[in-house]
Amino acid sequence: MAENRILLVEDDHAIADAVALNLRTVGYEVVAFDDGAIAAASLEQDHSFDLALLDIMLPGMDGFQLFALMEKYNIPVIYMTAKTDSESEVRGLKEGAEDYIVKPFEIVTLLVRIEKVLSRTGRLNQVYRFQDFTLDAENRTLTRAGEPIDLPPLEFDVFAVLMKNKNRTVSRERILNEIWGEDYFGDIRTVDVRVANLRKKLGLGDEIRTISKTGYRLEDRRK
Amino acid sequence: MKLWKKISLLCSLVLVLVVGACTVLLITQAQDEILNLTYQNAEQKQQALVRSFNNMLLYYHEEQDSEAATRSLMKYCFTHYADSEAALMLDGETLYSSLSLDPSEYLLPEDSDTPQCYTGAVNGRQLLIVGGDARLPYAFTHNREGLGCIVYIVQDITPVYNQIRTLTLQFVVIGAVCIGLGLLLIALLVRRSLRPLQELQSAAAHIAEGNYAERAAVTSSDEVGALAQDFNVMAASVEKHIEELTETAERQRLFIGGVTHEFKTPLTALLLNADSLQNTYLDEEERSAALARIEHQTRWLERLVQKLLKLITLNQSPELQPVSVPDLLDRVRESTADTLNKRSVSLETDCRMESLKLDADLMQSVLVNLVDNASKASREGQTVTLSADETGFAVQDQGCGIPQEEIDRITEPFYMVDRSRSKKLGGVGLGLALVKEIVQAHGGRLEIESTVGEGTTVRVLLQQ
Repeated sequence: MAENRILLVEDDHAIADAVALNLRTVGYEVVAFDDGAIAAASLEQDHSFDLALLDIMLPGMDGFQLFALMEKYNIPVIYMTAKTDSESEVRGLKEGAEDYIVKPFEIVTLLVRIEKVLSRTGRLNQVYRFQDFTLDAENRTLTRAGEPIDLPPLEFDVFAVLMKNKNRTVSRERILNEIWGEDYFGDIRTVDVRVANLRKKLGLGDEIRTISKTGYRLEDRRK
Repeated sequence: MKLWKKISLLCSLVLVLVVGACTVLLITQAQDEILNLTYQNAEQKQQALVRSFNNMLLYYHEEQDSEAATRSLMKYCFTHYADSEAALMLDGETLYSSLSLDPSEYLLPEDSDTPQCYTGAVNGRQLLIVGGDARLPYAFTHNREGLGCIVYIVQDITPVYNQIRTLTLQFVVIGAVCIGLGLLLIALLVRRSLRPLQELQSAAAHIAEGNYAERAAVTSSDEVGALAQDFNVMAASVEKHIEELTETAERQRLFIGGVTHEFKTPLTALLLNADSLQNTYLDEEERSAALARIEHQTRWLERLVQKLLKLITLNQSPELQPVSVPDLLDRVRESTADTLNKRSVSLETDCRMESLKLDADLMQSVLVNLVDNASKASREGQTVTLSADETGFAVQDQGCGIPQEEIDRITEPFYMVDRSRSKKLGGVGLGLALVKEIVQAHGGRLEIESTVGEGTTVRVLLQQ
């Protein structure tokens, strides 16, 4: 299964570059444009995207105009808007956008929204790769170079969260939330125990880095 | 108490007094007149009786008549003329009387030529008793001393009094009706003449409720009309001020909205890049790229803040002094030289004015801004012309031009014709807004002429 492909149309390069960089590091394939008309033109050749992140105020063709094309190619849309006025939000959602995110936003929020939209539309790729590990979150299997590895459920879940957020720091709280949901107030140290086990069992002592005071990061040094 | 009630009440009081006094006067006069007529009538009647009686006496009298004969004659003669309401008294003794009363009880006339009157109520009737000396002929009196012969006539004047009473009643009724009608009329007229005040009041109330377009519809030419006119002038001025305030508030709201919006993009970029540096595993190259983006955005934000500050603090009026125009143009040339070189655009200056009254620093920033804009619109190798004459300055380019429908909007804060192009060239969208503010602070105005594809001329028109 291929990586999820995301179309990004944003005219501010400082934003576009940072978003693209982060999406790529966690394993999405990103195609970015800074002009609505150019993006629209290129869609004719290549429109196999799983999601579109659209700015609203764009040169060439604005986000609302692009939406028609997205519908045509059946691409779910998340708007990135600096407009806080509810009118544009309402308009975006009314016309069928999956979601919108108001600038300034954080990358974590964007990643969560993207994952939710992909999962809701049944496009989420749940097979994650790291070095020679392959983790299938849907079927709950983990293989290393084709050899299946058996992990206790909790350790599998923690490893899945780290794989999903490859190269991104994940806080202990977020790991807990992802596994047990937001209402769980468990002991944060359980995460530490699972991570220690994972390091030992998978031989990832260096790759799973402890980020002080925050959490853990699965670093792909060969990226 | 309402003014119309007060005025009506005062007028009514006066009316009642005047009508009352007139009525009383009229009644008294009429009463006197009628009574006098009645008296005169009775007196004449008595005199006629006296005359006839005397004549007859003289005719029949004989010198040798005895006392008793004379008395009989007098009685006979008097009876001949007297009607039912008369009496003849001789020396206090009633010689003849057809009366049911003794008139001497009521009236004892003194010895005079004219008869005297008495009026009074007797047995429920109003009687007029006229009595006077009979003025007997000499023949009767020459040999008798102290002979007092009095002729009385009595009239029942109750009908006269009744007539007077009826008349009085009529007068009172007429007076009352007059007063009543007068009161009604006064109230109506006063109310009517005070209606403009009411209209003025209701207009004021409407305006107080916020309906500033309301005017008093008073057209009379009196003091109230003058007041209404002044009131309307005041209302118009209030309306104008309120409109200006509302407009200013709306402009400020839009401006703040614009500012917020403009800050969001660089802030988002800063946040995202800082987030990447903190939470994402980046290689050296990616790390320095993120840092460069942060630096770039920070500088851009700084520029935005500077321009905003300038725009906001520009409210105080600039100090206008005579400034050497050639020097000013030289300074503009110096400060734009680098950017013009970079864009390969040349600057020509045409100075036809030695000195103008202005704030040199502010006007320099205006001209630098305009030259900068002109060079941004120009292609490589083109020329921007900066000229000065007695009307002010003009900056002309041969660049891409501005679409007609955009011209009015380009001086709005944050308005950019080609947003991404402007941003690439480092614009924050405040330049022309700032230029317009400065020119207006100089008491001048900005005039923009443009043809797409042929170029733009921006004139700074100063009032000298």
